[in-house]
Amino acid sequence: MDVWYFKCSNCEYEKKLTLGTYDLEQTFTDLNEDFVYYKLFICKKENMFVTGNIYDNHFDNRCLTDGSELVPVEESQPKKCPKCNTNILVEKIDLSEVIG
Amino acid sequence: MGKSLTHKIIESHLVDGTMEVGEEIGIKVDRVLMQDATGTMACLQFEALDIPRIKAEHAVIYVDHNILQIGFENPDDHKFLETFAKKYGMYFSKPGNGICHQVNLERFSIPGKILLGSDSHTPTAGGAGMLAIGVGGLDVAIAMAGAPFYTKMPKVVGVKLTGQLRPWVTAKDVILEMLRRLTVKGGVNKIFEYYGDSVKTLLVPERGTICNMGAELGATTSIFPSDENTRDYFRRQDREQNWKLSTADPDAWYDENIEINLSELEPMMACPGSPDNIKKVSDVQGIEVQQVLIGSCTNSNYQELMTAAHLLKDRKIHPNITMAVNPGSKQVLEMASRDGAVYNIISAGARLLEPGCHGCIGMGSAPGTDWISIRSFNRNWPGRSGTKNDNVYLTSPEVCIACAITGKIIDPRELGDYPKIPWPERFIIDDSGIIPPIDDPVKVEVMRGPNIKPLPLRKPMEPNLQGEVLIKVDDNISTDAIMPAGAKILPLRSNIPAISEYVFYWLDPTFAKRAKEKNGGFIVGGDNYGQGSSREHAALAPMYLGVKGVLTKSFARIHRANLINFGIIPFEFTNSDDYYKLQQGNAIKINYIVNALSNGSKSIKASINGDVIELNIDFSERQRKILIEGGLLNYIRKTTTG
Repeated sequence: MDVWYFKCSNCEYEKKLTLGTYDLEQTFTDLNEDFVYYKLFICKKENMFVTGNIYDNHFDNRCLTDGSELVPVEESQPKKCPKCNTNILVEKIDLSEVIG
Repeated sequence: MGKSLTHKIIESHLVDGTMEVGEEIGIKVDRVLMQDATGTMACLQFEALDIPRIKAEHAVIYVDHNILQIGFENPDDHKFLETFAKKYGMYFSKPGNGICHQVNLERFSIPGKILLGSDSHTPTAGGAGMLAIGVGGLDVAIAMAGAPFYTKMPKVVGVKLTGQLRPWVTAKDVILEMLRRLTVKGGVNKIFEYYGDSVKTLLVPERGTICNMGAELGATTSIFPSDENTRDYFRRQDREQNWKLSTADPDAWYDENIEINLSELEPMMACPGSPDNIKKVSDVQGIEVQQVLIGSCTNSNYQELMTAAHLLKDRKIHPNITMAVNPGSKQVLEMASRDGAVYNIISAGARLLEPGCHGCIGMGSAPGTDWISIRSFNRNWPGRSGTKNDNVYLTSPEVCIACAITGKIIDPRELGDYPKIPWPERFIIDDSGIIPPIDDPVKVEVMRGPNIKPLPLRKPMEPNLQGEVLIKVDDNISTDAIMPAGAKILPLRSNIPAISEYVFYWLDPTFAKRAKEKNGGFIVGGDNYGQGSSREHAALAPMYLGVKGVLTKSFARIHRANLINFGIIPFEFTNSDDYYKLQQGNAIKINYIVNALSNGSKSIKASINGDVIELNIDFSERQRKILIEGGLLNYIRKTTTG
């Protein structure tokens, strides 16, 4: 699992999100509910990035804030700002020194 | 209308609530199972209850997950669990004695009893007629204290089995068929009860396989009746005295119904990505394979190992294949040795591992880059094997062997006649790998490594709450953001003071320091706060840092329950726009919170820098009591000791 930072210099939209699934040393238990896969979506109603845990049995590709249908972001690194559609800065945050 | 077996068992254990679907019920727990990955925290939680001996009738701690001892942490955990079990009245199953679910089925299952286990695949015991549910460590700790287990009454789904499995088609194909029909989300809040004339065609370990992977349906649990087949299994395990007839009424009523004609099933496999990505083996055959693994709590019993060994007799596995076999228990391995299976397996070129979870939890046997891995396991979510972008197929041991011999995915029916393996007249009974509790707990000192610290508890709720907003976060904050993990953090999971230093580390590395300096405070979040993993540490560690409440637009359901369990009040803004009024550093004062919780108020006023907002506190009566006591452990300690 990685932490990604998104920053738009045009509209100043900014977000830090965890994406992907666990490496094995990131699970506290061996319960099914401990496993996640955070996928990146765009909520078209609010024009923002959101993550959804696609392993969650209750997640149905709808925004958990407003109930609207989410648009999956297929690229591993999105290139456009969800708010103003201009190029966006995307950085993977390296936390390996801290958390291993 | 008659009653289902599930309804009968729940009814006989019901201590609170009514058996209406979706209503909260409290049920008495007879027996408890733990494994080492979750057991240490569960034991620390039980220890915090300050109860001298367990009150459940029976509890066992198994070491089967972290059996590779590459540092001091795992052996320290094992010694802690062993001494803890002795002192508090539990049995301890040593490393090498086997996978908890296999050993439980063999030695400790009892029809009609309720078992709670801190492992997802606890429902395996449903194969012997137990109502067995996988839960978190805290629920197990509470059950050990003799307190009821609370859950929402699930729907009971009757699965009628007709016909008979054809040669080369196995119990694994039955549960893969269920996954094909229902998907991994199809069992949520449901119990699957198997019945029908064809149940008698399945042996107890086969029934266990089907119940085991009910977990992958998301089901609460799965259960088979206890019949003459069950009795026969118990007799061969020298435990006939533990058997009893336990069945549904002939005219039992179910909330939903499913029918599976066993005669129509074919060998199947779950293709990479998800256990419900099911295809017939004949539709994917020809793909070259690099790794084959047989074992796990799903498919590692005596019959399966003997079948695999028979198929490997006088054969060699394909030169391109690396193959490993892990027996489910010492009993299985001992009998497989006696009956010639070990020779066949080794002679064919496979690696034989000790009984344990191994590759199923990523503890070794990770596949190489771009390898195709065929496994008789239960999970194939991406990365679970230990290799990113892995390609893991889940199938029966028979298909695994066919792939190992030919080097490619192949329908096992092409191997010829299906071998008939005789059912042993008696299993080898040797419980020397299971250490019983001792009578005088005073004589036992619980041994803790430097990494195991007693669990801190919150004090009872203060009459008035006040403090600063320690951090303000936006929507969809995950439990991974609240309590991150990683190779350096995870080993601290039994040391709450140490792991708390990393709370919100990804978002604000100063959070823990500030929280301690301010003597705690509040967290403000947006919508869906606490989504993702169910990890209890995302509530436990903030509690240790003094977090009194979390104010959000909304909570993810599991994390909300965890916050309540650890005495942190999950407040929701009555007017979600109030979220925007709050900033880090704002002072919050919430007066008369204990009064409001006691009298059942649905909302309470909070003062923020002179402004007043309304917060939702719509909790059940039980949740209110838990919060007033400062968390579930305090609440249980009070109610069990007076």
